[in-house]
Formats: sequence, C-alpha cells, structure tokens
Amino acid sequence: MSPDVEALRAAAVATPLKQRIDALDRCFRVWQRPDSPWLQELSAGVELYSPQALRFALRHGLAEWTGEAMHRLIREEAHGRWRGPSLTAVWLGGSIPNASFAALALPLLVGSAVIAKTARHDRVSPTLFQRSLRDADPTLAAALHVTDENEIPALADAMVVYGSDATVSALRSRCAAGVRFVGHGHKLSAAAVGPDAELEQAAGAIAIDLSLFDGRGCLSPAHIFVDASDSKRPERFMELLCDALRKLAVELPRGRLDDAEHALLREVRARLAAVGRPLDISPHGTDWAVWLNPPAELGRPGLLRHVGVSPVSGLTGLEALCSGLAPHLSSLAVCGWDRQEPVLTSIVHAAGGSRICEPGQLQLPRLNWRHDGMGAIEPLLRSVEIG
Amino acid sequence: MKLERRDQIEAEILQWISEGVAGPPDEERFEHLAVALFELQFRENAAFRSISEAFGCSPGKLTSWREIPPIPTGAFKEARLACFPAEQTRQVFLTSGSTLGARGRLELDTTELYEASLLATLGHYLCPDAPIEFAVLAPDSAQAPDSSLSFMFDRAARRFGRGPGRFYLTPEGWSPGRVIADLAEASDPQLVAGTAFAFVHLIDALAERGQTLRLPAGTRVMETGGFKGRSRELEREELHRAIAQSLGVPLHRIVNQYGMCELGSQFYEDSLRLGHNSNIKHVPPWVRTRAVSMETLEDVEDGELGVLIHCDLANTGSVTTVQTSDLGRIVEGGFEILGRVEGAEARGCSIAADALLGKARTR
Repeated sequence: MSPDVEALRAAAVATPLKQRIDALDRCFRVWQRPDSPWLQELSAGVELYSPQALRFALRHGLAEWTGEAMHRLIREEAHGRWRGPSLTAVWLGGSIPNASFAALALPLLVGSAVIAKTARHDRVSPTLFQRSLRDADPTLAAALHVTDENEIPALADAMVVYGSDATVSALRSRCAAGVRFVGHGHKLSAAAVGPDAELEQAAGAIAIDLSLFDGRGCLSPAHIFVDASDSKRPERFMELLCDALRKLAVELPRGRLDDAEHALLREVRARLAAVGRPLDISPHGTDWAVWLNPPAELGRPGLLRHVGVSPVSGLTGLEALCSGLAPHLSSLAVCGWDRQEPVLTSIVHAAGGSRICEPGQLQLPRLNWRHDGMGAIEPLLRSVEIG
Repeated sequence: MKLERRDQIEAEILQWISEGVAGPPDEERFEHLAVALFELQFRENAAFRSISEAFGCSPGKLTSWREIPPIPTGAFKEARLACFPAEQTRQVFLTSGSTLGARGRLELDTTELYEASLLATLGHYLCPDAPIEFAVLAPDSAQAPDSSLSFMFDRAARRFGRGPGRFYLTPEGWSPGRVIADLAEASDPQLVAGTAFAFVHLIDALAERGQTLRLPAGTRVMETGGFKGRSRELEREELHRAIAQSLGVPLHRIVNQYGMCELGSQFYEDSLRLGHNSNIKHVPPWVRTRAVSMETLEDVEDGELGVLIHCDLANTGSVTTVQTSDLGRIVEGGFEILGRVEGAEARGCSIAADALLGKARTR
C-alpha cells in the first residue's frame, strides 16, 4: 500500500526536536530492558540470531541512544539554522537490527519523515521498531513508514542506502538530481593485537566481536592480526580465542544457519585443513573455527564465527595486511599498541576505515561515529547562513 | 583378513565390480573395504590425513564407514588429494570450472578401477544389448584429455560400440548440421550421449531448421550434467520431452546419468530396462549414498531432503567419501536429485561442453 506522504511529512513537522529526542530515548530504553516485549517478539521472529545474542547486542548497542547523547549529536553536527530533509528514503541492508534501528532513527531525529525499505534478510526488526516507536510516541511514529516494496519514493529529497557496492551504485544512478544521497556500501572490519596486549583479555573481547551477529555484519572482524615479535604469541592467542569462542557458543549461541551456510563452512574448514593450516574447530557442528595463517598472509576472510589469525611483524606488517583490505575496511579493533595512535590512524585511513576502537566494542559503535567518514546526521542537513 | 596394501584392496573391489551392479549391497563387505581404504588413504594421502585429523577422525577412532570425513568438492580445488607421488600420475580429470575460475582436480595413477566401475554401470543401464552405435555430443578424449566425461564416452564406445564412436565436439565448437545429417541417415539403433546443454543446443538447431528426427527403434539417449545457470535452462522433464519430440525417441529410453569428476562411479536411472520413466538414481553395490543434514552430518530420514554424500570404493587413489552441493533424498532403490544447495558454486561437466557449443553458435 502506498504511504500517504503528506501525512508522513505532517507528522514529522508536528514533532519538535525535544519531543523527537524524548520519544526515541523512551523507545530505546524499552528495547534494552531484559523483559522488553519488543525484544521477545524480535527473538521469536528472527532465526538468524539467538535470543541471548540479540539481548546482549541490543542492551549494549542501544545504550548509546540516550536523550543526552542525541542532544550532543545535534550540537556537534547541526550548525546554524539547520533543517533536515522533508522525506528520507532509507534502503536498509544486511540483517543487523541495531544498524536498522540507527538507520531509521537518525533521519527521524533531524525531523524528516521516513519511508524505509526493509532488507531481504531482515523484514522483522524495522517493523517492530516502528511499532515500538508508536508506543513511545504515536505522532513521531506516524512519520515513519516501513515497506518491503522496491520503489524509490518519488517525493523523497534524501536517500540513505545500506547494501552492497552494486546496490549503492545502482540506486545512486536512479536517484533524481537534487536528492541528497548517502550510500554505505560493502565493508568489513578487523582486529589487531599488539605486543603490549594482555592476550587472554584481548581474545575474550575479540570473541565477543566475532560472536555478536555471528560475523554477518560489516563491523564483524573478518581478519585478526597478531603481532609476532614473540613468535609464540599468535598461536597462544589462537588457543585463547578458541577457549573464549567455546564459552560464548554456550553463553551467546549462534543463530540458525541454512544448509548452504553449513556446507560453505564445512568446505572452508576442509580447504584450510587440506593445505595444512593449523585449525581448531568446534566439537559441535559448525559453531566456530579458528585457523592460523602463515606469517604476513592475509588469508581468506572470516565468516559466521570462523576466522583466521594472521601473524604480523609490528606496525609495518599490520600496515601491509590492512592495505590489502583497502578500500573496504570499516573499523579496526586495536589493543596492545600503546601510544601508536597516529600510525594506527594512518593505517586505518589508508585502508578506507573510519573507526578505531577497543576489542569488544567493534559491534557497538558510538552514536556520533562518522560512518564511512561522514557525520551521523550531517549529510542529511541543510543550513542557512545569514550575513 | 585385514587388508592393508592397496593392490589387495583394489583386487577385492575389482572382484566386486566384476560381479555386476545387480548384486546384493552386502553391508559387511562394504564396511570392511571402506574402513580398509580409509586407513590406506589416511596413511598415504597427506591432504586427506590433515583434513581427517582436523575433524578428529583417525584410523583408531573410526568405527564405521559413516564416520569417514566427507570431503567437499571444493577441497579438490585446494590441494592434491592423492595416495601416490605426483610423478606416478597417469590421468588427470578436471572439473569444468566454476564462477571463481578454480578447477577441482582428480589424479589417478591407474584407470583400472575407474574404467571397471564406469563400464559396469553404463553397460548395465544403457547397453544391455550392445554393441550399438555411439553418437556423442562431446569431444573425444584425445581432444579433451582432462574431461572425465570424454574419457567415459571413449571407453564405453570402445567396449560397447559398433565401430568407433562418433564424437561431434571439437575445441573449435561443433557443426549441428553434421550431427543432424548423420542421425537422420542412421539406420541402426543409436546411443546418443551428451550433456544436458548439448541436447539443448541440438534441439534448438533442429527447431531452427523446422526439423524433427525419428531415430531407429532401439535408440536410447544418455543425458548427463545439470544446467546450473548456463545457457537456456530447461527443467529435466521438459528437456526429456523436448528430446523425445525432436529425436523421435520414447521418453523411457532417455536416461539421465548423474556423476561428478571427483567420483569413480556414476549413477543411472533404470528407465531403459524398466520400460517406463524413473527418476531414481541407482547406487552400485560398491557405493553408498547418504542424504545428510549439513549442520550435523547425520543422515536425514529417508524421503527427506538432505545434502548428498557419496562413499565410492572405486576411489582408491584419492578419497572415498565426497560431499556434494546436490540436494536430494533417499528413496527405495536409490536416491533422487532435487536441486543444488543455494549459493553453491555452479559446476559440472555440462558447462565445459556448453562453452564449446556456445562458440559455434556465436560464429
């Protein structure tokens, strides 16, 4: 059913900034509660992720969405006499609920009505978000329409797209002139463990990064680099990571895979074992696996809690392997490279990345993260300068 | 008696194959040979040993052939899965490629078992009344030395053919006019063999000419390989109806064969012998086929959909147990193929032949 665009715009206009922030704050607080009805409904409707992992991810991932943080974001990015788009078309991608929520909430925050097209692998969470927002504030919720239809709304004056590079490119070319276009294409993330890192702590935190959303998102570490100044450290790290993944397989179990995914994992394991890679695999089905790449080799990217550890020779080695990810690096979780921020920043920048964080935080970006180097809301805003 | 040497094991398997495909499955015999082969392959095949060890499987721990680690076909692209030194390789079969370009590789130091198995099954299901004229819509093995399909047709034509087989594809392509002319003039029964793609091209060529054929009584067709996203796709039943109509061959005389480069044995429908259509693939006594859950590698219930795994004793020099990307179900008398695991790489003999056929059509 086609949405009533004028009604959506009217609802957005009728909700002042403070009301919008209060509504989003209330909405996200409910989602974080352990007994949240929305969380329960999401867990029941989503097979890709286990209820335990969803609860963890939402509790920690949405903790940033406080009224105070939203006010701060507005102060940081909205300057002068600003205005958001009257209608933003949001093209959702992937299957990460946290990312969908942020993608819907940010244009609403700047006063835009939103028509959101759900992603193929996540029809549930955007709809639930819309309903939960209606509970928090029916007026603001009336500014959001969620649909499965592939039509770009004709009257949108902004479009935000999440998806593959091909999707972003195709939609960009279909956008009318004058429409502000924000595209977030294919990305991946990595983790780097330096010589000063406490290995057990690092392994535990990176195991959380690997386990949340089961390696399906662009913030999941697809590669792990471990400094090999001491040649035994990569192997020791691998053992500790396996221990941590073994525990998390119980505490934050993986979601459901289909036959093709199981088959792919079995093939990945066999191919790695066939060429003699040290490989440690879950005793239960295809829960997780960790392998050790030869020194200075990037290896195949990880997926679905299966990941390779690449020994690197200091920051020079890290730079060499990260350059192999350019321009697709999103975020790098780093520990144990104390006082090396300028070099690390340069490495991440060169690989196309826009974020450095601590292990354990990869999947939990801050509200004001400049995703792909762009502000969270800035690209949507128009300011008028007087004088 | 415990079998340890490869020649001893092969002699036993050759003996079994020589008893024909109609013999009893004999579980005890299969178990004995499969476990002996596992131990041999674990010992002699370094890549297989690495995989088995990674999966926690070793000779001391194995209690049944069902526990032999299935090797995904993708692993044949990654490593040399052979039980003998590279310098002893006499025959190499390559898979017909994939979207990623890498090709799987089966190396043989002897083709004795491979030939014995293929001749036993092909002879039983397609040539019970040999000799017969072979018309093959594929290159001969001299022109495609790494094609297991060409090797099979070549050996079958030598054994069951009336005169040398006619092979219609060359590396440069083919001339549909020549095939059509030869078949139109044939007075004796033919065995027309080729990939599904080859038949699609032949049917199209006949349609372009507004022509249909009526091949001599006793003719049979062997069609193999899938479509896997290439060329014009037809459902198998639709393809068989089109072949029947274009070549004037009864439907039950069109037999689908299922095989793969990585396996020494193939699987046939029994429709020619039964006199009516059947889509059940029959499993020779020296092979076991399972439909499994990819999550657990446990067998699914008979009749339920699973990923097919074959344990083939004719694979003495590589690995016995191969995990396919094919979805199917176990039914009485064999198994049925019902599709591919979504997202699996498209691969199969048909694609190489289709590329050759496509060349000719674009000229």
